[in-house]
Order: sequence, then structure tokens, then C-alpha cells
Amino acid sequence: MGEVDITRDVHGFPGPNVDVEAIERELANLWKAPELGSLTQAEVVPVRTSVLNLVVVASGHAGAARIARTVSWLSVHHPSRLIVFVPDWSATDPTRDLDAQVSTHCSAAPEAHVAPCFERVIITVPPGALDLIVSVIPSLVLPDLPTFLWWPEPPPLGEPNLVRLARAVDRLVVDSRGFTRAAASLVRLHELCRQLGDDCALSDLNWACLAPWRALTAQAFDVAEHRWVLDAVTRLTVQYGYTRGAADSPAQALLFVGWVTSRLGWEVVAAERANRGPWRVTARRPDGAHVAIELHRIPAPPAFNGALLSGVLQARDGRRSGEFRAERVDDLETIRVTVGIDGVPPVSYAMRSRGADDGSLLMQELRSVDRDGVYEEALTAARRCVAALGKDERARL
Amino acid sequence: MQSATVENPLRAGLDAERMPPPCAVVIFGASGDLTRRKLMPALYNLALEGLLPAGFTVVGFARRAMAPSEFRAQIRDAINQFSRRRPVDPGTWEAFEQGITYVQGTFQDVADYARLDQELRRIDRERGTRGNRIFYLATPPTQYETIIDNLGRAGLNVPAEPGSWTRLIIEKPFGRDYQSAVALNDHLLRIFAEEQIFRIDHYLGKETVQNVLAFRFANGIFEPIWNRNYIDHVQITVAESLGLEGRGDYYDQAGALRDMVQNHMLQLLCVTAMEPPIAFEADAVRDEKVKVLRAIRQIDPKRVNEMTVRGQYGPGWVGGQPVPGYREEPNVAPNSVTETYVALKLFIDNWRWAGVPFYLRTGKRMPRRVTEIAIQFKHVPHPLFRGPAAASMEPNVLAIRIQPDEGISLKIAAKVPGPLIRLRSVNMGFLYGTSFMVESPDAYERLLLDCMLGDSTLFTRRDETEAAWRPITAILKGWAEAPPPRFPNYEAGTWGPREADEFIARDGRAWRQP
Ligand SMILES: NC(=O)c1ccc[n+]([C@@H]2O[C@H](COP(=O)([O-])OP(=O)(O)OC[C@H]3O[C@@H](n4cnc5c(N)ncnc54)[C@H](OP(=O)(O)O)[C@@H]3O)[C@@H](O)[C@H]2O)c1
Repeated sequence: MGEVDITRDVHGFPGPNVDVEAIERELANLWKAPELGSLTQAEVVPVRTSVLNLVVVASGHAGAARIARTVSWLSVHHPSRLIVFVPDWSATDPTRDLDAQVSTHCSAAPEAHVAPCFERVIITVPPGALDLIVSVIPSLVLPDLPTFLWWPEPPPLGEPNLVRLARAVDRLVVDSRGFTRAAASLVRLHELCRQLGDDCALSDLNWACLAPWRALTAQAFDVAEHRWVLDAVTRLTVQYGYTRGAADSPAQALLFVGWVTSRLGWEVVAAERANRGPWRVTARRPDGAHVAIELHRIPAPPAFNGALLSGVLQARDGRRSGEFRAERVDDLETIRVTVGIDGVPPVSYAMRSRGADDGSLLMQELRSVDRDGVYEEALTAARRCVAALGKDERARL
Repeated sequence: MQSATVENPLRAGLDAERMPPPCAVVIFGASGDLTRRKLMPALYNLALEGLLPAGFTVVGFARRAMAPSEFRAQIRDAINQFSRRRPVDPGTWEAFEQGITYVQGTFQDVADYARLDQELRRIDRERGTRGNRIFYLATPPTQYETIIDNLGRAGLNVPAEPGSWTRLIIEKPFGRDYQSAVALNDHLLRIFAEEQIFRIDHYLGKETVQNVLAFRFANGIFEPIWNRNYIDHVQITVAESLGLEGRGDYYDQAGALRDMVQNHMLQLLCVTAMEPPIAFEADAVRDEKVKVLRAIRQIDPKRVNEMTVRGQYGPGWVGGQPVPGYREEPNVAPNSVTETYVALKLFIDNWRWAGVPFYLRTGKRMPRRVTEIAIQFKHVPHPLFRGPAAASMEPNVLAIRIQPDEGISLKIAAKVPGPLIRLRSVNMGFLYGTSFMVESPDAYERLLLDCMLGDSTLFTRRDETEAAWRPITAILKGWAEAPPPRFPNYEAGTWGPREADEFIARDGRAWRQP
């Protein structure tokens, strides 16, 4: 197996500006680097991948460390070009000319004759310099490839430059797990999504966390005899984790509720939330009947703060009744589903699901550039659950 | 077609847009090599991706006595050894193994099938599989008919409950020649209906083979030139660097023509040569493949030597190691005349391909493992560049690489930088590994899932297998009548016998160096 990693510093303009031409020059030089010779000696040809551009904007040092971890993981899946913006006050130093660091990483699988290579550009920028970032991205991305923008920490929702930045890429990936005022931020995220329209697809790693829940829930209703339950739900109860001292983080639970609500064609008609109490939502089914929805937060270890812990659907149709229950059990790393429906043998199955790491969640979101209609509808319904609260209740969120 | 997913509103946007209904897979030959290497790792990988239905169950059936727990342990070892993702993920395994059980029995004893039936009924009750079942024949082909008969006797050939389904997967080799394939089909169809039968050719489950269809029919620019007006000839190569890998018993009876050409290579020929189907659906796709197979010009057994070359390897070196010759391999007759290499020329007598030769070659113990389809285009009609300028210019070649380094490359002429006009061939390429971030699933994963979903697009239909045997049978007949070949005639670690080079050179062409 052949592997090389080549890194060069780029010295450009002194001060906060970024010398894009110098970066491009250094990137081109990487391909002439003598280190690549070790591959050719092994009869392996280094080939630039043509998959996608990934732009990452870190907001602080903690973020930069998290990105570094994810990025080294991503290198196995080799995006073509990775451009990371790291905020650093030193970038404003008028004498400093170190603009960026560029590198390429190539590795060949055993037996293969080509080594896919991807390039990484790390650019230090003054904190908050969104306009600078907006101006640099178009000249550094590889043409004809989709461009993704990952914003690992809470992005400045509501800032006009964020919209400009998003319009420069094909898909913006945020992570609402980290949002501090989660419910209120979901409303603003929805607003951003509306503003972007077809200009940029929006996605959320918190939504990606729901993938196993969605798959396990859907699976129960592949069985024809269970299907009627979906048309006759009277109650949906969800629980999410809360760690004392941490921020209340109902976004994932709200997205789950939003997903069920939008898939089943319900309409949110009212919502209330007493101080720190359960969140109660009333929805109307397509047949006009009401569904009572409740979100409860329950104590959980820090790794599960804000994580969905259970979702229960109860249904009644004439004299039949049924219950679908999905819940994290044992060490919370297994999701177990039990379905009990009158007249049908009970069904139970489980899936191991650790809290997924950033890398694999991000991978899921990098697979498509298109808008995710199912997510957007879930987000819209989740927003309704927040918007339907009284003014005072919203202010307390 | 059975699909449980149409009306499930919760499936929208999920990775598994198609989820099969709960079912049980019975593997006959569960202690065998195929089960360990391919089937169980494939099922496990499907489980890992959440693509298996709730209640999914595997019932192993083989002769040796084994407790279900022992069988499960064996399977776990096999996954650790052969799965594309390993080691076993404890969480996934825990749920997966609850659905693995074992029935000890012999294929010949109908009472064992009654016990199997009882076990399946218990599984239906306890795991909600509702009578849906797949019988997978992972056994020596000599056992196929016995098993089929006994499934019929035990009433296991018909759906167990109203609305449920019963399917049969049958492995290669499917017959030894045209007559035996027809006989096997007749036998099968006395007990099962064609819609129940899934004949596997794992090449069709390969992503890269399916990509040939995407490449041809999802891109507007290739179809107009995909014919006799622009294409000079086609070369299909399946080279293996391996020898027999302990399968001497089987191989010495089969040979390269039966083992590779009749199934895999003719499938590659079909996807290359077929007309666009009216839809990407089982019968539409297979109708077009059958048309190609029927259009293959029959080889006159008396002229078999003009159209084919056979070879058998002697000792040599592969990958820096000395290897024995074919006749020295275990379970091979010391004077065996089984071919380990074959090259042949086929013509497809239809409007599109009239006069375009398809050269097929396959061999064991070649210098390296490679499978590719190369489309060699004609020379430019008027040579603008002559003399030294064009000395190293070659016609365009479109090479579709199935394995390894999966991808597509186009050889084009380009000017060498400098003051003079000098031309050289360069490659323009697309490589799977550098264009997608995800790993391709194994062929068996795709095929097992398709069978559970009742989608037979990637399986061979009765008429297809039989049509594929026709030209092969003519060649076998010709070979049987010809004087025995002087074997061995190529050294292990080379690209086959010298006769194969002369064979193609007679047409003014040469084999590609893949
Ligand atoms: N191996 C491969 O990589 C491969 C690839 C492509 C296609 N195939 C095809 O797949 C099929 C299976 O091949 P394989 O290599 O897996 O065969 P194998 O290793 O020889 O296994 C044969 C299996 O059949 C069982 N069996 C044989 N006779 C029996 C009887 N009378 N009653 C009950 N069980 C009996 C054996 O059980 P016991 O061991 O308990 O006796 C064993 O589980 C063949 O058609 C082969 O051509 C194999």
C-alpha cells in the first residue's frame, strides 16, 4: 500500500487579507512535489479525486480541534478539496504573511494501481470575517464539482452574510445539536431555509442522527397489518435527554415530531409549554381527528443531552388498538422497537445505535446535493410546534 | 411484483427506499464454502446497513450434526474472515444472530424436509415471517434435482400462506451443456414456476457491470457511435491470477468455457451489445439480452479451431512465486485436457453488430487479475497526420474496467508539446474509487436483497440460460471431435498460449495489454 502526505506553508499578503493566487500556485506545486515519486516507484499513479469540495468554517479553537478529528476521518473517503477556515486573531497582525497551509494526501489500497489524492487548504482568518470567506470560496473550489459548506458550531443565523455564503455553495450543513436556544434557533433555521430556496440545500447533522429512528419506525409499518395504525394515531409521546446544568436541547425531539407530523399529513393546531414542563402540542389528522403530542425531557448522561430517547405512537380505530414504541434501552446504545397491535402477533426488534460521530453523520449529509424535502417538511412542522406556543412561552425558550 | 413499501408514508427519503417483507432464507449447503465466503457476509452487511426486514431469519441446512449455537459461531468466524466490513460489530451481530438457526439433514431424506417445514412454521409464528421464504441451493450441482424434488414432495414449493411467497435461488453452474440445461429447467419447472426461480450470475450483481448499462443508456453521446459504423471490434477479458484454490474436483469437470464464458462473459457481452430496453425492468432487460444471445452466430463444430483457442497452464511464476502447473494441482487428472484458458471470436448477426468481431478471452494463472470490456474504434477515415507525426497513434479505445481499479477510460490522440506535430495516445479516465465517497456493496448483497424484493432483473431467465448454452455447446462438441490439444501450452504467469496471439493477429489485430 502506498501513502504520501505533503504539506507546504503559503506566504501571501501581510495582514488579514488572503492571497488566493499564492494558494493556487502552491496547490499546483504540490503535484510536482518529489515526494509523489515514492508512489510512482511502486507503480502507483496518484490521481486527484473528483468527488466534491468541502468548505468548513470553524468558529473557535474547540471547533478547530473537532474539525481536525473529523477531517482525518474523512480523508479515508477523500473529498477532492477541503478548505478549512480557522478563525485566529493573529491573522489581523499587519506583519504576518502566513495565509494558509496546503497539503495533499494520497493513498492506494493494496493491489490498486491508482492512489486517490485529495487536497486540503487551511486558511486562518480574523474571527467573524464572513465577507472575506465569501470572497475566497469561489476562487478556491474545484470547478464542476458540488460544494458543501459544513458549519460545525452554531452559525450566525440571521446574519445576511451567512445567506450570501450559503448561496456560494450547493449545500449548507449545520448541527442543531449545538444550538443554545434550540427551539428559537430552529425557527430561524427554518427562515434561512425559506430564504435559500433552491439556491442552496440545507441539512442538519441533528437530522442525520434521526436516520436510525426513522428507519426503525418505518420498518414497523412495512407490515401491511400494522399500517392502519398510522391513520388512527391518537397520541404521540416522545422523550429526550436532559443533563443537569446543560442547555435544554429539544431540537432533535422536535424534528422527530415534525417528521411524524409531516409524513402523516397532520397539521399542528395548538401548543403549550409550562415552565420546564412537558411540551404539549395538538395536531389534526387528515380525517379531522385530533392527536395529542407530548415532549418530555428526562435525565440522561451528558452524551445523550438533547438525544431522542423514546417515541411512542398510540392508536385506536373502532375496537382495535395498537401501540408502537421505539426506545433507547440498556446502556442507551440500543434502540428497541416493540409493536403491539390487537389481533396481530407482537413484533420486537432492536438495533445498536451509539451516538454517531461527526464523521459518519457528515458523510450521510455529503451524499446528496439536492434539497432534502423530507427534512424541510419536518423542519416546517417542528417550527409550527414552536410558533404555536404563546408569546410568553416562546420568550422563555 | 411484491413490494411492501409502496404505501408506507414513513419510507420517503430513507436510504432503504425498498424494504423487503419479513422472510426466512433457507441455505442448503450451509456448512459449505460459498455460504462462508459470500452468503453470510453479504447478509450480515445488509443487516449492518439496516436493509433487512424485522424478523429476518436464516435457516442453515447441511449434513453434519451441529447445534444452532455452533452454526452461529461458525458464521461469526466466517464474517470476521470474509466480510468487507470486519470485525463483526457486536451490536448488529447480537440482533442478527437471533435470526440464525440450523437444521441438520440430508438432501435425500424427505423426512428431513418435513422437519425443515416444521421449523419454518415455528419461525413464521415466532418471528413474523408470514410464510415468505427463499431456498438457496448452495450445494454441489449434482444435488439440485434431489433437493428440488424433495421440496416438492414436502409441499415446500408452494406459498405457505395466502399472500406469501416462496422463491428458489440456484447457483452456477446451471447445466453442463445445452441439453442438460434444458433438462434441468424442465425439471425445475415441474415443481416451481418461472417467477419463483432466481438463477444467479453474480457478475450481474456487480456495481460496475450495472454501470455499463448506466454508461450506455444514461449518456446521450455514446449510443450514436455504439455500432458497426464506428466500432472495429470488442475485446472482453477476464483474467485471474489465481489457480484452483482447492476446487480441482469441480474445475477439472468444468473448464474455463463452462466456468467463465457460458455465464459471466456472455453476460458482459450482453450488456455491451444489447439494444436499449424499453424499461429497466426484469423482463424488458432480459428480453434484450436474449435477443443478443440468439443473434450469436453458431459456430460450426468442424471449424471450431478457427474460432477458438484453448490453453492449459504449466508450472511458472505468478506474483514473484513459483506455482505448479494445472496437472500438478490436487484433484486434477495428471493427463487432464481441461482448458484453463480460452480465447474465442464471436459474431452477433444483427443490424447493429454485423461484421464486428467480439473477442473473448479468459484464463487462470494470468499475470494479474483483471476484468475489462474494451471497445476498439475504427481508424480515422482520412489520416491527416502521417509519417513520424502519427507513428505512435492508435485508434480510440474505450475501456470499461470491471475490476480492479473500476472505471472507464478513453484512449485519445493528443499532440506532444513542442514545435513539431507529434501525436501520442493518452488516457482520459474516470475511476470509481476517486469519484464516489462510498464503498460498493458486494454483488451477493445486491442479489439477495433483490430476490427478497422479488426483483429478477439481475437474474437469468430460462430462455437466457438456454440461449447462452447454445454457442458454448457447439464449441464443446467441436473440441470433443478435434484431436486432443497438446497441453500444457502456456506458462503460469503469462497471458496465455502463443496460439492466442496468432489467432487474433490473423485478423490484423492484437490483444490489449490490460
Ligand atoms: N465456493 C465458491 O466460491 C463458489 C462460487 C460460485 C459458485 N459456487 C457454487 O455454489 C455451490 C456450492 O459450492 P460450495 O463451494 O459452497 O460447496 P461445498 O463447500 O462443497 O459445500 C457443500 C455443502 O453441501 C452440503 N452437502 C453436500 N451433500 C449433502 C447431502 N447429501 N446432504 C446434506 N448436505 C449436503 C455440505 O454439508 P456437509 O459439509 O455438512 O456435508 C456443504 O454444506 C456450487 O454449486 C458451486 O458451484 C461456489
